[in-house]
Amino acid sequence: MSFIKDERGISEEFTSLPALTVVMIGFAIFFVLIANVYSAYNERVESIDKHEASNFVLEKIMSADGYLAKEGIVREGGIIDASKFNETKGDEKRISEIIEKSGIKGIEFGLKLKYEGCKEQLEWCNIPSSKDTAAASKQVAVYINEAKTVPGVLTVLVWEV
Amino acid sequence: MSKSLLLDNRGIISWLLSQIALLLAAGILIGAIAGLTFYNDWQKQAEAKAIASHFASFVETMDLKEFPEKMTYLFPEKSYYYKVKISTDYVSVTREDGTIKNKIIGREELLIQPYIRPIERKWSWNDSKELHDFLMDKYGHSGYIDDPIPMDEKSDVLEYLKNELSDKSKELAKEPLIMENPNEPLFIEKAFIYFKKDGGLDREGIVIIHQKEE
Repeated sequence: MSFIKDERGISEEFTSLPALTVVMIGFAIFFVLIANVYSAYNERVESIDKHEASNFVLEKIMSADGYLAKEGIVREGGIIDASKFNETKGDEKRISEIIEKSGIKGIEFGLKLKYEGCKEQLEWCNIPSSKDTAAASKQVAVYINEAKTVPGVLTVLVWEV
Repeated sequence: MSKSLLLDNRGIISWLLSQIALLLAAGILIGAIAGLTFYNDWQKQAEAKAIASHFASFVETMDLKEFPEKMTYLFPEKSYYYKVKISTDYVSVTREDGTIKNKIIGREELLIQPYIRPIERKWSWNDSKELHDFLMDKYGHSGYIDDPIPMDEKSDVLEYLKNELSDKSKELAKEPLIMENPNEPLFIEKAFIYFKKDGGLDREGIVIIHQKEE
């Protein structure tokens, strides 16, 4: 405890420096937190925007006037025709025509369909694996044949062009 | 110098130096934090973007309507001045009270392409009623549910609507519809043009944004 009796005033440096460090660390943490709030807010808004867009696409293409209804993929009453969906899923030209004529601008979308009894999920061939996508799903009735309509889930994936 | 500082029994110079350094460091840090939180424009930008986004969602919701409908849209009243520019593809909100840069713009892309009819431009039709009157003059049928257009003219009508949209979208990209007064209403309509086909009706829905009060 000899530094207490030290009258040269040098020891004072060694007490104020740790205090200064603590204050600096405190401010730095506060600064980082504020910056995080900003980026988290931005990210949240962007993801809400994307989700809204995917929901909008789902509602629009499933509507009675939607292009899928005109193509016969969506039958009367919002029922999905499994065989027509299957025909379309690998046809890139037809898919790009559907996207172009759907009246939706600025984004592209792809569909996935899963229903009771199908071995694997049917999905459009244009869905990219590397892009940042947002999805919205809806429970639908799937028409298999005259005698059979089963429950299923239709998913829309959207991504920016 | 350093020797004389070490030999200084009072320690005043070193005390003064460390206090000045502390003041400077704290000043810079507090300034940076205050700048980021209170004077940065990101909150203002977020507010402008929210106004644009709300309008875009409203237009997109109107597009999903299954029946003809007209709704009035009023932009929110704020304590600051802002200007809304609406074109066929974008809606942008501009405010001029930024701290770092004067103009702050919040922009939102529309997912559908509405027909925008600014009131000061005298275009061939400005709302759904005028559109049906226009179709009546051009095709002899108004396109209402009780007076559908024959199916063989459907492609003609759709071609006309497509050209009209693309012509006007170029014009609106240069000179968009500008809303400066939040008390001024904007009307958003979902209109349907009906076509007569064998054993029923076919229809085409469009969204019209106009300023014409009835």
